[in-house]
Amino acid sequence: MGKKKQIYYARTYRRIELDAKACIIFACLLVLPVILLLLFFMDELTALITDFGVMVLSSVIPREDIVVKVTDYAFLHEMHYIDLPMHNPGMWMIVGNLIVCLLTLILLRVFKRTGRPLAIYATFAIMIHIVSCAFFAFAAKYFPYTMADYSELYMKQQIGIWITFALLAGLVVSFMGAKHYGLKAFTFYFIMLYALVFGTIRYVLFLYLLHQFSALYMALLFFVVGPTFDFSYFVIIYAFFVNKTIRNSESGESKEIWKWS
Amino acid sequence: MEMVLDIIILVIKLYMIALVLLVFMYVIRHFLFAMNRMAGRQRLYYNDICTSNLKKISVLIPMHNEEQVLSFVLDSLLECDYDRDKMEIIPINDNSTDRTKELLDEYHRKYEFIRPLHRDCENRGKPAGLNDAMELATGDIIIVFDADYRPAKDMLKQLASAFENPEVGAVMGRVIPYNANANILTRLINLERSGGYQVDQQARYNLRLIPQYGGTVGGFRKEILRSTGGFNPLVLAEDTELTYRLYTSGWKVVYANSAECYEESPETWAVRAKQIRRWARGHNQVLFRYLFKTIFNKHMNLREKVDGLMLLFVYAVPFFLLLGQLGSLVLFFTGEMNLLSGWWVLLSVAIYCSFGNFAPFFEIGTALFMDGIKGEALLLPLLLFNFYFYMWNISLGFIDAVIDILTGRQAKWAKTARFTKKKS
Repeated sequence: MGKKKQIYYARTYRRIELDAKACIIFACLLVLPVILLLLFFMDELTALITDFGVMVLSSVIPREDIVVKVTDYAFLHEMHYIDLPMHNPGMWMIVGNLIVCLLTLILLRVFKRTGRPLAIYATFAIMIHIVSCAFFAFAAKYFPYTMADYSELYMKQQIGIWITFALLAGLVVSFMGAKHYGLKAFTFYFIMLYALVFGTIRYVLFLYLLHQFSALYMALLFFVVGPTFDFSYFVIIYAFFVNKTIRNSESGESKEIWKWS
Repeated sequence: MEMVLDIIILVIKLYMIALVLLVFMYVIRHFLFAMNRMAGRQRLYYNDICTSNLKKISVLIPMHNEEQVLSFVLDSLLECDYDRDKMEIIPINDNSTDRTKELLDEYHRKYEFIRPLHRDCENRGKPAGLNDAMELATGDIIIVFDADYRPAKDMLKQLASAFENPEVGAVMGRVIPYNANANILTRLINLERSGGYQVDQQARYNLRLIPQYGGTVGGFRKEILRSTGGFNPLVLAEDTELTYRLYTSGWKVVYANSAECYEESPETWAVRAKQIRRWARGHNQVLFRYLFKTIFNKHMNLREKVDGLMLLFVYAVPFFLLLGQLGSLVLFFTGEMNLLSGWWVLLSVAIYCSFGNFAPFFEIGTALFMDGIKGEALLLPLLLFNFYFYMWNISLGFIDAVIDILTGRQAKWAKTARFTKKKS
């Protein structure tokens, strides 16, 4: 029987035939080695990151001020992190920051941007910074973190991000679309690689900013460009992956993946 | 004093852990939906039935100052493939002050089966209008469209055929924005709609959970409404209320993915904010009314109850997340951020996965894959900012609903602003 020249693929009730076993095995092959590497080479990985941090920071901060510390982290053997001197902000700095925050809020209102997504996001950020300013204005001596505390917390979080990303990325790419295992593996490893590089660079940058400009910015950095921000690049990479998968599945022989039932 | 502070911190920590678990339940639910829709067998309703004995339908279209758009919906309905002896169209002119009345009367002069209901009373709003129109309606099945909708040619047949199944109390079709390319907002709404219908609603129907009747592009049996007192004019989300009324009375809702209808999406953030806030207020009113009815209902099975509860809370979770953000700020300044041994990040994962409250990113990605829409997936990262927008406006809607309950305040119906240019 001859093939129809043109076949209209109704989208309403179409689906793909997914080989669940193959997907699970593929997901395991992607995720497990990465998680095992992260778990068993945590010492080496965090040591590598701190070495990089020390190398970069020592070009702008006296080397004797930079201290590498090591702590036990659950069953993950040891974890390395950097300690630096950090100072509390002076009153003029607090007032200056408050003025900038208030001016930004006023500008948002004057230019009628208050209800828009970016403005709401900015308002959240500003409110956090105002709380931080108020805290340092009235209760600076109660600020609970040293640079070492923050640095340790950051490193723990980064480990959490990497392991969570490995699981999440493994799940969302392995089961999306049929076959195209190369694209899936590339997406997975690209997400993990980006997470490692981004996490490291941000770590060094945060330490520098806090060392240079005081603990006043710790809350802002943590809540606004902290963990939530990591998921932006995760979704950006995922978005490219989905777009490519859609193009693949709508062209040529790949159209045969679609089933109706 | 120190003990009080310790107790507060303990309560916040427990709240944060509970929140992480709650949001993870939603993430798992949506992941299962995405997998089911992509690779599971799709459940069809009675949409392929050909019958000469079509059911008598009454198409109700609530309108308030709709002179800009009413001709689109009426002309589309006139094009619909349905026996005219078996249908009537009742546009509900609800206290309009523009030329809606004149335009509807003109249609009535041309087409006898278009029978406008002109309401000029204080009791305005969609539920009250629908109640009045149902008194006039002669059809057994009520089909509802909003005035900005443009039903496809086979829409009425698709919706009406669902009622050939005697256990079906209501049917819901798929909504697709026709102005998706107007701006970035409408494109993002298009993504959410795609995830919400192509994946979420269809998966819920596949899995015999609770597909939701959405108040437009859908229909219900008139007798059920009449026997249970009609729509409650005090509830803003009369559609969600009807869904729960049906399930708690032993009826089912059908999701008709093939019944595609085109709507106008809000084109400004201010209009979208008002719409979302109103939805959240209405949905949470239903939450307060049906929480215990759902838990202790004898007509619903366990899976329907679980899904029903998760659906009920869907507009409360963003408020819980907002409280979570405040809680995390308190924990930060009290030096307690070491919660969960630094795996605090899990909350962010959960938040991100649940963006926008309508569909997480992988669910939207799956929907775009199923729909075969190229290019739009690249907008997914922008949902991050949408998340804060929704969290804020939905939280305001939640607070509105709480105040309604506490003070007995009556919600006033507000129409979503239109952007379509009038037909020349």
